[in-house]
Amino acid sequence: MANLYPEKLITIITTSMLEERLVRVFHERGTSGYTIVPARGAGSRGEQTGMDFDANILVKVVLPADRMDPVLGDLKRLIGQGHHLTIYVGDVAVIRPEKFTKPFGA
Amino acid sequence: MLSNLMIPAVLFFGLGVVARLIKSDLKFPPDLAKALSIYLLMAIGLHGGVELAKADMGAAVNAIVWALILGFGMPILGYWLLIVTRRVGPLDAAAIAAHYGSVSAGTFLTALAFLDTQGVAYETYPLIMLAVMESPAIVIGLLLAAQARQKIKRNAQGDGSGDAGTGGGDGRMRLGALLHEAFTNGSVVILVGSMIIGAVSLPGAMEKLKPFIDDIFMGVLCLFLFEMGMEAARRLGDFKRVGALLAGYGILMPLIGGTIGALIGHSALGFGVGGTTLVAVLAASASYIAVPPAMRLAVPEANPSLYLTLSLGITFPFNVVVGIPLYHWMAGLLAAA
Repeated sequence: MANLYPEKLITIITTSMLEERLVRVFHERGTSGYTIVPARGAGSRGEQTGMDFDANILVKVVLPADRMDPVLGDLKRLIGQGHHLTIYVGDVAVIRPEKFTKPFGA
Repeated sequence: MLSNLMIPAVLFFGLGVVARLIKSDLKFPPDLAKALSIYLLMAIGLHGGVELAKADMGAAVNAIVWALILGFGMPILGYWLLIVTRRVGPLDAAAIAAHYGSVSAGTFLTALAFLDTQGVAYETYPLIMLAVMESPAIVIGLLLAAQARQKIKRNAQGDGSGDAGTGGGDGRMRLGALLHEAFTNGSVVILVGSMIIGAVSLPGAMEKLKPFIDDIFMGVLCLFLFEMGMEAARRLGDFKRVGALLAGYGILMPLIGGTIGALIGHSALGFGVGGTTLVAVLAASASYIAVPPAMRLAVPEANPSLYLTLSLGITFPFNVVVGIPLYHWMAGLLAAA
């Protein structure tokens, strides 16, 4: 069996309008990458239909535990401004930890 | 009155509503409405540009000034009405009011289809007004929201303190970003850009585009309204959540706007029945494509299901079915008086 290394996975569900701001946060905080997919669903803000004026995104970022706090701080600031983000953090295991250390776009 | 509804664009809107109500499995490909609205704005912009190249500058400037007055004035009126009824908080009111100050190109194009069918001629100046009126309401919406935030903050703090200074700085930063958002908005870029291209292109070259911008235009509008009918019907279910009084606002606002628009179109701008109808439609319609994303960014505290239900679920169908023939009738009365 391959060796596994622990990382953190941050998952965010929010409006597609925040995509650029989230990417800026990931870039500034030196994450190694991110994945964004369109999302549909329902929640406290009612049904999200996926029309372009009403679209949600699901964002996933894998990063080392010691790099997580600055990212979460920036996300909390967005929530403080009144934006609605569903955020959860989980433990994941990866087989190539070096993949998650080099900042993307660097 | 019923014969006014017997045009394909409106009937397809109805088909969309019916498809949704009978729970048909009909589904449009993702982003189709977006693709169609890009086409519609481009085609109408090119068309308008050609006409405006021949138009009188003074009249065009006059139309722009009145478009700005409507664009800045309607949201303030709408905000005040909402605050008076006390059904929503000030931030929701600001976001909703911004939708009513801006315009719905879908409603405007349906009005063009209506006038074409009735054989009514119309001025092309309302088209510039359509482009101008996209943006001011977004700015006003943000200013109203900034004011509401300060009021909420002041109430929360009891007495005003030195903290207000930093809040103001933050607001200014966001205003810059919002102004950029308001004036580089996709609809505005397509519409204004296509108008300029239409105005400066050689007539011979524009002739080649005729099948694209004229011949298939009404067909594409039918497709667009078909999908918007389904979207509108999806919102109708939220009626209960919005409440009867607020739903009434979704009908009262277009009636007020339509009346003001008709008066401006007839008296201030001196348009004929067709042009006056179009100005009334501009003032009566509420945005559901350009403004919602802008408000999500600028007024994230406001509840999107409120403003989307009002503009897309109530005001848009009202205007398409009842409003347009009504404003046309008003324009006729004014012209006869």
